[in-house]
Amino acid sequence: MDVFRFVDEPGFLAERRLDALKAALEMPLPDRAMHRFRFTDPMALLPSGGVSAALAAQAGRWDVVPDLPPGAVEAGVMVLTFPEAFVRLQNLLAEYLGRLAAPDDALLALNLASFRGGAVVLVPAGVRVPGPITLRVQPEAPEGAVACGRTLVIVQEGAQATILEETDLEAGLASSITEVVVCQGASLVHGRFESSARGAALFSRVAYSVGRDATLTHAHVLVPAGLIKAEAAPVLAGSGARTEGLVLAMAGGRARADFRAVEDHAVQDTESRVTYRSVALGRGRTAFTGLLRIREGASRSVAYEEARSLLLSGTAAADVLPELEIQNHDVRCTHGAAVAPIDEESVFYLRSRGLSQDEAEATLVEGFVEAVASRLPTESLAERARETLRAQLVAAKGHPAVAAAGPVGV
Amino acid sequence: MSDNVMDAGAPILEIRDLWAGTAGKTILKGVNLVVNPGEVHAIMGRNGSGKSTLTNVLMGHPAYEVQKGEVLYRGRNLLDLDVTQRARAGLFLAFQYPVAVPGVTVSSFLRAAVRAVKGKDVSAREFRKTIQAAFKQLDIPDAFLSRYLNDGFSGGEKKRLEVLQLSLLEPSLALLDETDSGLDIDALKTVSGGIVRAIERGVSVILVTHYQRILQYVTPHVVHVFLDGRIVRTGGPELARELESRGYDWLDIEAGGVPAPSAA
Repeated sequence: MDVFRFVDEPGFLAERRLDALKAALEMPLPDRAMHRFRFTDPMALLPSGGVSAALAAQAGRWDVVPDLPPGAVEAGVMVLTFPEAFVRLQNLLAEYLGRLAAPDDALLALNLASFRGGAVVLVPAGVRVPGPITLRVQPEAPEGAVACGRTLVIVQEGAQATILEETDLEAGLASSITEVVVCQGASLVHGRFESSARGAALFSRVAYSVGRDATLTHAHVLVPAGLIKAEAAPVLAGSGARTEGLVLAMAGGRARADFRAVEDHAVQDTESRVTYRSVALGRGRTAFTGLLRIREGASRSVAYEEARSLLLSGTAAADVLPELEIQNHDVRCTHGAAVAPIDEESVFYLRSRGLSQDEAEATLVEGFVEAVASRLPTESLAERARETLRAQLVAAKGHPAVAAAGPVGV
Repeated sequence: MSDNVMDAGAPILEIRDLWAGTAGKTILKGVNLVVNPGEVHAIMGRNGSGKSTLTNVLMGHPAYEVQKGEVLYRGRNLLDLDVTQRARAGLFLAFQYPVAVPGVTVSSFLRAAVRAVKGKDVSAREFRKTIQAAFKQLDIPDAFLSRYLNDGFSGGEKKRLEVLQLSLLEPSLALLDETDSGLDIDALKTVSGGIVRAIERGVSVILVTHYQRILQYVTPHVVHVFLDGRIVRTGGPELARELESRGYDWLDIEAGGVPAPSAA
């Protein structure tokens, strides 16, 4: 089988690709009896012939357009293509690439075996990047193939950065995997905005390693018109590590947004929070499965997870499934989950103040997502999320919101 | 007022033999009431007598169903209008339990409400001026503007915000549903002050209450006693004082066989 290779690909990568290729062909697809794939058929992310057909049909493009704030390059920040990184960052690549998001199942293995584009971001020790680094990702694959791309982010000791990945899948199938290392004492805000057009299906996974006294804010905005199956898996690997996950998903029409979070507390004195909001309208479906895993050595850890979904139509559906896996009992874990239609008493209240039915609903929806939207790491990400929500409501209802939440000039 | 008062002699509200209920249960059993422009009517009665049902039905709560009767608001059939239309026509309900709307700030909500009811937008500067003055009168700190609507508000704070809306939206007819409940004496004075100022500007009021104490600050022209879904007695302010000293029990006896009088 012909496997994609970059020009001058180093030997370690060729080996990992080969192992991944074997794994992809040998391993079964993820088990649908487990929560991770309970709500999405893995075959929906693959061509009809499955993984082997995807491997046989390797084609397509994975373009990344980076945008760096002024002064970042001078401070030593690198945003490189893989061929550039092979030359300049070969040791770091050898240490991390394909290791954080290892080829543990056929979908992950397919990506490592055949990824053909992406970016490598390095924020050197002690550097505070003055503004967000944005990566605009444009996958493209012909019918029958899966566009595969990877991003590797390394934030070294004590550095601080905000990195945004915006992936817009316009057609076909794509697999997007990001590996992120947040070293000791570093602080990273990582935001992902993902959209997929009608009929398109995006599989996306971010694997994080968060070191001692490091902090990570990871934000995910999912606005599929087709399907998005997205996953975030932070490992709190050093004591004092803290993570905050913010997830906003919207699915109208016949779209599906399926999000999985796994906060893995590997050591003691770690703290994680996840806040999830989703809105399902039309015949849209959203799903959330969130696992808080507390390992045996992770005493005095604190974990919090709150997932809420709002249903705007009788044909929309939403699932929220929190999970706990606790192997150490000197911990504090809190979780909450709810799926509910729009509150009629609240609609009545707003209508009694002159708002129309649609305006009242739109106002309540915007308020509902605000718990996440107001905390998204950059105003541009928050505004893009709100705009998409308004557009979806207009598409579903035909009226814009009148009491848009957020700052008002008073 | 936000819109023109029509024939000054015509009633603002006329309820004729109104029967209504919810979930298959009849609660209002033949209410008759006439409110003339500028009048303040107090409706008193025990818990469960149907007072709040009356205000909800008048505002158009979708959970309540009108079974019989007529309601004319400024000469129009009120029951033909939906909730939004009633609000835009100058009807206002101060809720007994205002809902919390997390994520929507007081400021954006108030601006949307003013825009919706008055049918025009005001400049941010003008809005700020109006709202700061209104906040001051009701002792509401400016910091409330950026708080989420009624989210984590105390009972008193919610009631103040209801009265604030009464002042901002300038309705023709205000239904005040136990706006005095849960207030300490200082808050009661502040809230009553807001109601009195609205009355001075010409709003007509139906004030639903358990207690006579708010009537020391807001003087009603007419007092009605509600019992088992209808008005069983109507009088002047002295009736409220009589209820305060005698309770409601004596009316049960009198109500037997006595037709509900209308407020002429």
